[in-house]
Amino acid sequence: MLRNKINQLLLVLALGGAVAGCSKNETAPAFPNASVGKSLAEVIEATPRLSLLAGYLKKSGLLKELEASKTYTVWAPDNEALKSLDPTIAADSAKLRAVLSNHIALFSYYSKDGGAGKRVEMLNGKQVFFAGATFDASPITEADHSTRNGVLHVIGKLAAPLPSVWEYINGNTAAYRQNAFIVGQNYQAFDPALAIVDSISANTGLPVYRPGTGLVTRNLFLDQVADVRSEEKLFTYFLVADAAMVSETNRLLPYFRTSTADSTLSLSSFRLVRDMVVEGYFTKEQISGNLVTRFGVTLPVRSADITASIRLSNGIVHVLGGINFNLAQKLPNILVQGEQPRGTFRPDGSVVNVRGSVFFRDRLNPLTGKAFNDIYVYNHGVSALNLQYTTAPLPAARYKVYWVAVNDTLRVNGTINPTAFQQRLALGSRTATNFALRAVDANNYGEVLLGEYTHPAYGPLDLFLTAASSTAAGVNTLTLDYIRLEPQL
Amino acid sequence: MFQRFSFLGKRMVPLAMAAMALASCNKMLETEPQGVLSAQNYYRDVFDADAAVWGVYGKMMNLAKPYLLLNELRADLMQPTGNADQYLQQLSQHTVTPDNPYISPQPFYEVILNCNDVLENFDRMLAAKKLKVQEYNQRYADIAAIRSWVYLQLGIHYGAVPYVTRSLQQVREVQDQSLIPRLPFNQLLDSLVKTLEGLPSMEEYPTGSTLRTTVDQYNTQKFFINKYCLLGDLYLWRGKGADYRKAATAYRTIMQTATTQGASGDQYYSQYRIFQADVVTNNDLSVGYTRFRETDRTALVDNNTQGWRSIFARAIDNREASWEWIWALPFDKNFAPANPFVELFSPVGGRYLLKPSQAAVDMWNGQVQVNNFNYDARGQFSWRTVLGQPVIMKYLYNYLEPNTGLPLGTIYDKNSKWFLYRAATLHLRYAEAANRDGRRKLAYALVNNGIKAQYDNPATVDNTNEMQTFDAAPYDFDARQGDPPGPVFRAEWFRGVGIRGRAFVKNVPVNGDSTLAVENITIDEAALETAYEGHRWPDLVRVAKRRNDPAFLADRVYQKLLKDGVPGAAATRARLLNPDNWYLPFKW
Repeated sequence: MLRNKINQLLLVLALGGAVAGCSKNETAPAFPNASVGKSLAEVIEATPRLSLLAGYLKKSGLLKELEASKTYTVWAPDNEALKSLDPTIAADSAKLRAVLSNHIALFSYYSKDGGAGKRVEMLNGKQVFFAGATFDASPITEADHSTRNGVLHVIGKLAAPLPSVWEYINGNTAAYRQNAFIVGQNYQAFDPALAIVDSISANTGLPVYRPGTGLVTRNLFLDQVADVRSEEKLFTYFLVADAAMVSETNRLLPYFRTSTADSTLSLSSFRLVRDMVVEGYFTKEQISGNLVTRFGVTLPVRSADITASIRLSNGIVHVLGGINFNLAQKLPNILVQGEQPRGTFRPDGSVVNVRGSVFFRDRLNPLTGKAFNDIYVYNHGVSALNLQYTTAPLPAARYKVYWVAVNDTLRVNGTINPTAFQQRLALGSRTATNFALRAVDANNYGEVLLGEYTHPAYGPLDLFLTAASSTAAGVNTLTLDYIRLEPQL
Repeated sequence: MFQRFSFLGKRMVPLAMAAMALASCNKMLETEPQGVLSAQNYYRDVFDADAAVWGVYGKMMNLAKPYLLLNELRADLMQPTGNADQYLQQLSQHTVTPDNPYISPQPFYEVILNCNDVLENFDRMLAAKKLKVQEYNQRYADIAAIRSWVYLQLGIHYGAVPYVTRSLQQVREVQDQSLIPRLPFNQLLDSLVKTLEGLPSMEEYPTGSTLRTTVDQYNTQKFFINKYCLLGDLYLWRGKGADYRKAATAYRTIMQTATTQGASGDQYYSQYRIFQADVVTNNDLSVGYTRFRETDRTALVDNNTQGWRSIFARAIDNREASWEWIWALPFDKNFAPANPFVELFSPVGGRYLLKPSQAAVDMWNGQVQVNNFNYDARGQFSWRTVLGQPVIMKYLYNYLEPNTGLPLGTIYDKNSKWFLYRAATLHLRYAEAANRDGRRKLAYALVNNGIKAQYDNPATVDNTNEMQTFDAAPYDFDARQGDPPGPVFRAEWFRGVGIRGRAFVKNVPVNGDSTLAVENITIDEAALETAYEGHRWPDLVRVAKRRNDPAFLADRVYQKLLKDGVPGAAATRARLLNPDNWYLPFKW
């Protein structure tokens, strides 16, 4: 009797379990005719709402691909969405392919993978924003249908491929000088990996390349500022109207004086446009003078300055009426580090090896609380020894020149305490007498203003830290933490 | 119902019988197997006793890895890298789960039970006159000291542990609390002190002993535990009554080794005394620069045969190294057990699981050297950027060249040493004890630039009544150095330059002359000098326990986690404020 009851109870429990198990299947398949065993191509073809898509896919040759044994995700525009497709595109299988491949990605992406939003690479190489419930700007009407070789989502709007920032710049050169200038930075370069080797020279052992091969087009802006071709990154690109481009460039012209007007203009323009792009995607609302370019310049742009914004595949373009850069940021201070001389020279310019007298020191500056390295040259026995430094190309301007030269204890065993010595700085040439010999005060960690120097034209500057004209130890010492050149604008 | 049982029973009987038959197989084979040594026949003469001692040390070397992980990773100087598994992260963050394989006390108890077994057999040998009394005393004391050392480690990490001093057949019996009760740490310390105080011999194996030999090309003199150091450590841990004085006395015995053993010449002035630099040859253990180039960073003495780095690279029986090392065991590429350090630390040939914490890096960078450089070069000797990653180098100098990232031999030549005790450790512990016994100035002197400099009046030429402590034993030091025109002195301690003096860093400014201030200086210095040698966590626990100030320990671990951006730092700090959480669960 008891056993029977227990059995009954067990039966009830088992049934309960079965019923509970059933409830897992409540989400019925969105595609009644489809089954997991079918490929994406078969499912799309069998779904009436996607009949237009099926036809276009067939025409573009993509349908065949969707039968492959790779895994895909298709964000399928339904018939309603494809009605609006430009007939010229619909008639051209290549154009059709370009548009439709912007809806297909390798690997499977379910809506849960989209999460808060991610960029997914499509078959055409573009990356499209997918956030679970939306694809690009289109809501997903039916999500997460599994097939044999991937996932199918249905969307209500076509997501035509957008141009990249680089494609946008190239396509709008007539309307904007700025774009034309950037495209004008194209140059031809030789890439040996792409060249055809005709023979190996018997004389030099080097390859002889076939003339005309291996030439590639590169661009200085892409090289030095940002590779805005890249679909993997996002950029925010600012574009100014022509008048502002001219007026801002004119502000920079005096600092980029060279021998020709052309190159001056080109250098100034480049200095201007290199701060017109930042990495990252910033909408109009997010911009309030808060963006800093990779050259350390704060973009003086607020959302009110933006007249138009264009969304692109790897970023966004904001068109500005004007811009007013802070010149001091555009033309920053130049630091020359003492411990990085190009060499040690006699007054006549011949090289002299005094390595045994050179001390590279690691110290803490008590004024700034920061660690620094400096150079200390002691007892080298060369009269008027000089250390040569060379800056990167320096804008033409009047500069205030400072140094930090620390004269303190040199040795430990047999302490040599600070001794009085003098050194001087020559700018431009070894024999220049811009600044007189100057005593290096004991234990002074602060900047010392040496005077002013006018750099006549844009170009590198040689600096020579020169010792006293003596061979005596302690008198001809040199020391330098850094030299700072502060442009007077 | 009964029927069912009996039915089951019928089927079970043959099975049970078969099982019994199998179990009793041992007894059936009464004949001794050929070519196998049975336990009774193992201990026949002194050479068998020696083999037993080597066996214990061989087993103890398996503790190198847990010793290092528990003592350093739980403290504030070491961090797991991204390569480390979750269990190492747990150790570092004090969030261990019972399944953590690194917290098993089993390897410790394997050594302990091995010791117990060996000790019982030594007793039997003595009774059977197979060992001379002197031979017995030396070996018994050695093994009993090793066992006590292992127990001290267990106490530090597990708090209350089963204290077993007899042999057991199975390690697992230790787990049974009904058989062996767990002894709280303080009582354990009492027992260990008692054991050490009652040892039949405190000295090392004398010259001529069969254990003072060469094994696999290694001189064995420094293989053995130093009983005075261990006894000092135990007193220091216990800190009851006159314990600090007793600790200082024990330590001082070893500091005076060169004097008591009648050494002469350089050894007399240098052994275990933290001796001064040789600025001409740099053949020393000091942080140094090429002479007269002391302010050039490129002139730092940075190789395996000179300067502070060579402490960890020289062979232990090397002349200068033997004046520093008190206890160290070699790991050789050719012999088991395998070197665990390359696996833990090296990015080349290893798995690179551990790295210095940011807190440790900042600690070294917060010092000022005598040449005004704003760091402590011991930092770049203790760890180095190798192939772009911060690598703890102390254990790798016999394996890897830090500047190139290339192995010295082949990638398989994994030679290293297990660093257990050296003169710097000894001086720091002595200072800690002396400070607690009211000798603040002496402690400060030993940790900073030495007795000679601290007890000197630079204004006078005559040093007759200077450079000495004028104190009673064990605090009586004579470090006089006198040169003409004053009287000439070369006292036994004149070459001692103190821990920081040897390391070429300036003295720590005295910030309030108090016992706590000097103790802080001592513990901080121990971190700078002996980082990654397995002393940090015990130092933190000992001081926090002594002061009854869990924050002393908790704050340091907190800072480590905070500076390395490990989440949950505040929760870990809160946990460590309860001393019960300093100890690991006793699980295996």
